[in-house]
Amino acid sequence: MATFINLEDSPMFQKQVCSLEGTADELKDRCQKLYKGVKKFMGTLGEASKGESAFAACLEEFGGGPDDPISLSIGGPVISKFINALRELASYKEFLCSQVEHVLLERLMNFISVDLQEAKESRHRFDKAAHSYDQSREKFVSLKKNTRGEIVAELEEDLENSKSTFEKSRFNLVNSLMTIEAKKKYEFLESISAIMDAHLRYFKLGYDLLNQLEPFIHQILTYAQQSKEQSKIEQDRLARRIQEFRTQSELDSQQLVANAESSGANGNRVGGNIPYKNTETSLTADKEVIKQGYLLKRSSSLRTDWKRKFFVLDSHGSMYYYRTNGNKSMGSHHHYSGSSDHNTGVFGRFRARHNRSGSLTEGSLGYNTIDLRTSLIKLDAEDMDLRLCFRIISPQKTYTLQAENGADRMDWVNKITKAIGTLLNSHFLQQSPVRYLDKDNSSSAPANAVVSGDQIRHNDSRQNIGDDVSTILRGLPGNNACAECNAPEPDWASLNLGVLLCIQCSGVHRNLGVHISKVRSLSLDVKVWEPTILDLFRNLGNVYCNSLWEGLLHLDDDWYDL
Amino acid sequence: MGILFTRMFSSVFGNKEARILVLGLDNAGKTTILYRLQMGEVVSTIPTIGFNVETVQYNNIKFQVWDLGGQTSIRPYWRCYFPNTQAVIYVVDSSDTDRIGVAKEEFHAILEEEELKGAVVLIFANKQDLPGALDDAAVTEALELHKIKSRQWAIFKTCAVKGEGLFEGLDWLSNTLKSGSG
Repeated sequence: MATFINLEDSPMFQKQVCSLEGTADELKDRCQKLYKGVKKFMGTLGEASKGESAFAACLEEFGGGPDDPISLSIGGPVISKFINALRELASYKEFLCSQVEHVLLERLMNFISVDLQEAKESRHRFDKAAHSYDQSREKFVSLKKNTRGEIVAELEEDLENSKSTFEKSRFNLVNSLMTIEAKKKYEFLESISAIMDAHLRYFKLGYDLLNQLEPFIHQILTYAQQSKEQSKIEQDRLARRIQEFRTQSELDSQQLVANAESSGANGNRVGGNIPYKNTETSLTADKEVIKQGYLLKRSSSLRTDWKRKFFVLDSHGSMYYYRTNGNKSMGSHHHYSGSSDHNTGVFGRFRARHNRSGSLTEGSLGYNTIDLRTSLIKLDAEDMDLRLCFRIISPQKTYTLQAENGADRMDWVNKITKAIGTLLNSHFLQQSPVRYLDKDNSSSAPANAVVSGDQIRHNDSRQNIGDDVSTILRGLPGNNACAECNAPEPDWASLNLGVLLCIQCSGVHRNLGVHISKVRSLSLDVKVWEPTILDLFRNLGNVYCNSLWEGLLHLDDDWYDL
Repeated sequence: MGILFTRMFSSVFGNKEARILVLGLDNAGKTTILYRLQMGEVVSTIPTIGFNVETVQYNNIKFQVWDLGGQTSIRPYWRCYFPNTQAVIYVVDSSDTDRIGVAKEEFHAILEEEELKGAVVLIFANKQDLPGALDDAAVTEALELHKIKSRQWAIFKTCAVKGEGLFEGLDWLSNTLKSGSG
């Protein structure tokens, strides 16, 4: 620095000081403007940080809350993760703001209030000292020759003193001005580059955070896209289903009316034995709904009111109805297990639960099951004159139901009858009556639940034989149709005549008496199908047997045709 | 008298009907008997898959008559219908001498049932019209009815298609149920 090479109090020196002071004044002006600007900047940063936090808070309110169903359905867990990131970002902003305060604002303040102020004050003191030095000097110079020696000495000392003070304050001023000169060379650069560094760090933190989040964000975006496509497919499917449903229900109602008309004649058969064919509704392993819809159910209490309930008959032969009609608030029905997810990561857990929450499971609606196995259908309402009624009678309870139209009633009755018949013929039932008993009568009659193990084993073995009997015997010539009426798939047999019969014709044979025909069922009377009997039947078959028993009949027919 | 009877009636059966089970081997004639009793007619029947139930009003008693299918694999389900049963009508095909032994075994198995301990038993030796039908004494012998202890029972020769013997049996049943409780 080339200033103040000569420290003598010369006009050059004075000029230099003045020029430095001018610079300092200008600098102070600028510093104050900068101070204001920095203040404003900090205010903006604080606001931004607060704004980000507020955004996070409102997102949380929107969908990041605890596991309520709505949050879950709009993607709560994902939003929560984003909220955390936003909060993190807000905290970075806050940190940047505080750094601006420390490395710039405070130092700037310090510079203005300490260094620049010091220069001002030094100048003030210097002016005062210069003034008193001037006075001392004037006094001393104006001394007359006759002045007494001690006064001269006193004034001289005064002059010396004030000169020394002047000199001191002069150097003080120079010092403080030089401090400013020195500081301005590094102070601002240091502060401002620190601010730049703080910015760098701010963006780096933000980048790291979002960079880490990036795969997740893309995953979610992809998932959202998939969901969108999936939803579109489902919507299309729904539209198709609606269309199909409408067409189907139209067809159904036409068909039902047609059926009702054709079966109207035997609609009031005695014995409730509506003809069934168990092969039509064979019970499949996959549970399917055979029929469902609303029926009016007569309350079992003394007040005989009727309630409209949704009934379902499925291919496992269970019939049940929902206790409520499902129009109450669904919120309380929701329950989440949450613990069973082994998927790691927010997304895995989220996806598992997001999908699950999409559909309300049937299990969340309570339903009552009517056990059809020991039940019977009757086409009336016992003590009532109402149309369209039917009853499902089980040993425990009688359900009196009413359909909404005649065709629907016949359809229900036919399908339930088929289901009962199929159940009694099926493997499901034969496996264990005990289980059924346990389930239904556990409270009312425990004694019921005792079916001996022998019986169960018996049933099991019979079931297998039963299958075999049907397959073996139906394969024989003519055995694919009833020996009497040619109805397909006969499952009854006359032991002594060696023929297979349909259930209708078996009734006729039974009426003849056992001295003429001994009728047994292929599926329900399996005990009788000993190997010797089977061997006998294997050598016969309906074609052969009829050629004997009906040999003359055919001759008669021929003769009749002539 | 009317009031007295009503009281007695309701004390016997409460507000319910008398619950009667009709049991027996397949093709013994259970369903024919049920509808003969209910409608007084002979209906053409087919094997009962499951059961039939009808209400029969007779002698001022309402019988709720349950006719259960008799095929071997349906028999294990009979026990579902046992609770609250006042009487069992056991029907035997008197002409099916081959299976009278099986009929006896099933019959005694029913008598062993805890839930039927209080039930009275009426045996119908049915199909008396068919050739070779055993008479009531022979059926009594074959079913070993003399072994029945501490239970009221009776046997009637019946022919369901002609309606013979059925209402005599029902008379016995209604009298026994009335006196048994009073």
